[in-house]
Amino acid sequence: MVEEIIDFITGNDAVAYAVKMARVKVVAAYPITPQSPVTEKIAEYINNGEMDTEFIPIEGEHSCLAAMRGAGVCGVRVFTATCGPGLMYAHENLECVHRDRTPLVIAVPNRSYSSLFADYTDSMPESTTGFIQVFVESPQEALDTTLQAFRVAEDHRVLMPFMVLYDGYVTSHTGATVRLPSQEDVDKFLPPFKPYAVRVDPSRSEFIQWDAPGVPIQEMEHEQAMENAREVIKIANEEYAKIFGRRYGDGLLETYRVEDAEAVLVTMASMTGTARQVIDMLREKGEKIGLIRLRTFRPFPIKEFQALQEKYSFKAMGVCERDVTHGCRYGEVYGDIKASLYNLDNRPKMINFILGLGGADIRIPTLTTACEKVHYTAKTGKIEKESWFGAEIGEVETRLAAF
Amino acid sequence: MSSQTVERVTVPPTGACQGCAMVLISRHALDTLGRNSVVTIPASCGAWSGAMLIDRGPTQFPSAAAAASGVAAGLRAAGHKETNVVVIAGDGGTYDIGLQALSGAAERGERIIYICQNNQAYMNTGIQRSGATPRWGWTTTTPVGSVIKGKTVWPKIMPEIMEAHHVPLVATASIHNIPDYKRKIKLAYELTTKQGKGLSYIEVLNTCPTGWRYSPEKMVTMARLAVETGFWPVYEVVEGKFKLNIKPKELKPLKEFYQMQGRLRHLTDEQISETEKLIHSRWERLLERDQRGY
Repeated sequence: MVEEIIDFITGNDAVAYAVKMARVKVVAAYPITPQSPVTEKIAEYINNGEMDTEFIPIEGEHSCLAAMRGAGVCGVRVFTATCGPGLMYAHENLECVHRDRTPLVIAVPNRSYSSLFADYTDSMPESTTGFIQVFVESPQEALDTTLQAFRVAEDHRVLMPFMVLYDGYVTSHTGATVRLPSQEDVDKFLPPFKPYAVRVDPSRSEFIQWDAPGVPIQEMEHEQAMENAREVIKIANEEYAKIFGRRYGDGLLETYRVEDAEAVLVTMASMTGTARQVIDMLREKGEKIGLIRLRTFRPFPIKEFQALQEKYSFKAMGVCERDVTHGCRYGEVYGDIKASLYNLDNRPKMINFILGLGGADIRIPTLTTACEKVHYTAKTGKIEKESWFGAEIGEVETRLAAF
Repeated sequence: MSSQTVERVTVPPTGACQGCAMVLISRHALDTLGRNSVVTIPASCGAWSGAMLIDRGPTQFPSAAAAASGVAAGLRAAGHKETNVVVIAGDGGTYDIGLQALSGAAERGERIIYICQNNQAYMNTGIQRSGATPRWGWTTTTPVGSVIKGKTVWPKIMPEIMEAHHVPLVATASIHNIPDYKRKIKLAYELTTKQGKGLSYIEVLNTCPTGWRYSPEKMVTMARLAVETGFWPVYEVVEGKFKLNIKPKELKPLKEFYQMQGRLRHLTDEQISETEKLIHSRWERLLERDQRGY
């Protein structure tokens, strides 16, 4: 491996660097906070001759996703980035990308629909659109995952679009030391895009009448593709580790101090760093508590959650997430984990923590309280309340940046 | 088009209504442009154009011009530098829901040949009013009621909106003069595909027996009358140079043309003369521009 350059850059710049290294052929994008720096950086690369890429500075996200579909069917590597209201505006065309089986990669620095700051109320409504969704913790992981994203999405066993999700501002705008892989090594990991079929090709001598199966069969095929994606994500994670020495759990889940744990906390993205500190503090006090970071949300790691539960027999599980389904009083992730574990004989008691909405900071005291509640349930078998909003357990309405 | 052979790209039969002008509009455009083309058709009557021996770009209703922008970029990235990227959209997909995408594509100088087949309402979904429906015209969403009779506002003048985008070609055409229409398609190929000067916009009046309420065999008659009354002026703006292509010595009265259509038969004489006034003042303006040449 060529020695990696170490730089101090933001999550957005890390993603843009990965896009350059991936030799993406068409990028369309529309500005939105906190995504804009990704496309600004890409535009800079292109205008400085560092990237040989068609750039479409398009007039809105709905059109942006339409353009990405159009470029995708020509059989070239495509990328865009958006978030928050932009992601929601794009919904109609977003839904169509997986129907084309276009392996589009989208970077999404998560942004709430009610503020400029991070929560998952933008990407959660898109969890049914056939996108692979991977939540990353740091700028480094954003870079690494963007490279893995192309490889996973373009794998002929998968051919489903891929969303790289990272917390707006917290990860997108905060500088961190990031190792920058060389072009030579990236080329080893990510070969040029080989389309499975090129839907739009004017050079064909004969016209092909594409005969797609009906919707029910198509949807079954797409489910199989997502099933395959679980394995392909794991493989990409390992292959990446072989070259670059960095791996993120098994690609789907990452565990921390779960051995002999009776209680376990599930976290996502940037809140995990704080949660690790809390776990360390509680472990020092002798509490048997561990951590699972949910990295891949779609496809959902059903078997992997079951395997962890079978292996460690957690008595209680607390799920922290930055989103809520109103009328259910729980979040999307909670519902999915609960469903995954329901048929196990030794399923844990479960509690949901709805934290950090609108970008509120998720701090040590809040996560400590959450851990205590899970721990109490593990010890006593009793659940005081199944779901807690941050404000109910002392979350202060503060944000990373003071605007 | 790049090879000058005449080869059918569109293949009958079509799913269109009897006497539908859209079939002629898409057929002559695509057969003129040839096999080295990709077409994008949003939700519209164009979806019933029948089989075509070229690939189609995918799109949703609002985003035809955006999807075609992506196809154009994707094709260039894949090494196809001189392929016609064509959109055939209706007036709904152009005047209304597709306007933003079209305006964006035009401003960006996308190499797209955009053809609007304007039948002046959402005919494909059941004759609902659009931004192109004539004032006082009947549609299913502007019914002739006992209080409100038809559409209450004037239609947009879309070609003039497109002119404001500084695109290399804006033209209108009529299916009663196919040679003029085909010449404009060839011009679009020259300016947009070959010279890469930006988007070409061609709008054709799509006479529609189903929605306009007249007998299908009158398709060409209706198209001709629309031009001869000044209801549908046929002109072109090529890189800023204006030319009125069909110049009747005197415009025919509007009444006869309106009376032939069930959708416009209920108009009062005052309403017809008010419409005529507007048409005539626009006609004067077009004649002046024709003389001036820009």
